[in-house]
Amino acid sequence: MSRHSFIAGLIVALLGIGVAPNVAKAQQENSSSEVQVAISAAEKAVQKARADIEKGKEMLALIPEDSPLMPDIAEMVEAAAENWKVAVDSLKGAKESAGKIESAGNPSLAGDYALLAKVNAGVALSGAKIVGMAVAYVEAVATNKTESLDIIRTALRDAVAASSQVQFNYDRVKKLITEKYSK
Amino acid sequence: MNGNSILKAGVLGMASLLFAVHASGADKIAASAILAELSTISVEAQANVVDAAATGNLEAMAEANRRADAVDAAVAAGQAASTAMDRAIEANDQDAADAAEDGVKDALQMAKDGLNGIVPKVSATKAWKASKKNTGGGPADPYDAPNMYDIPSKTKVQQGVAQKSWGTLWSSGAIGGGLESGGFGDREATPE
Repeated sequence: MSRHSFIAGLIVALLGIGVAPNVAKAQQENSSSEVQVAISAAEKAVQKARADIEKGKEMLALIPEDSPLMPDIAEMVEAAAENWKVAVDSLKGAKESAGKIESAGNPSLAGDYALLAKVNAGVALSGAKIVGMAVAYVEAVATNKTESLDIIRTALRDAVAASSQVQFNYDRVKKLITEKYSK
Repeated sequence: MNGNSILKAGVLGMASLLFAVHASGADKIAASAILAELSTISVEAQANVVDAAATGNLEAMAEANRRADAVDAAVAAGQAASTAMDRAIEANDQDAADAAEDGVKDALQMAKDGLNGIVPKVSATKAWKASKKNTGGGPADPYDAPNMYDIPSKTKVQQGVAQKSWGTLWSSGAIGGGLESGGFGDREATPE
């Protein structure tokens, strides 16, 4: 009986001690690659938004100042400006968090940095997408594609609402992580 | 090192293994991160709607809207599951919290699928049945008589027959026919 316990204990100990770090390492590697994918997607979206802004400036020049759609355009330009700032700041934050993954002291901390980086990359991506949508509205006005204005306006409002949810949840993740380590 | 100490080491090893494989049940941080990802997908879906609108292609617009609707449904499902998870954690119900966390993860997969155009087709009948599924503890009794007006029918004729039958049954009942009727079976079969 005691011999069986001895053997069982040995096997379980080897399994437990040997497998646990491997599982944690695999999880860390997996989350790191997910972060890289998220940051890469956000970078592309921010680059596209930068090009869209230049295009938007040209389009804006084509619209007469007395256009009845000027108040709408002002709203779109404001949304674009706000979200551009959010996108750039969040991308920077995501890269900073990603840079801390490797140097984190333990797998749990590394996982939390990865999560922060991934969510912040999502904030950047959504901000950049909204810039593109706002510029699409300006372009539709400038090129007289008025039939698509209502669709773009509705989609943009839904997207702005969803984007604020992304930021809300990013703040929540950040708060929960801070609480976790301040206990 | 004797047998007991190795056994103790074994127990420790098992504990660390279990900890590594399943780290302490439902996770509010992970769920919030998933909700953020869901909303990001929603923004992407709306951006696709705008791209489609810019092309002026009606089919592309319909498809983009269909995908955006699927993503919105997934976001709503994820938010509902997250709320259920928070409540279960507050109530210290670990099983319910784990189930709700799975719901949040399922919603994320649904949203990703929706964005990629993989939208499950659910018939009206199936959707109705799913909404009436008795999960226990709900207000509905599984032996309640069905209300024909609530059941989607395959054809108008079928619906008409079912509703007429239901109307006849209802008017002959104690409530439907008024208190004077006396209920089922108490009415004169042939008025004299």
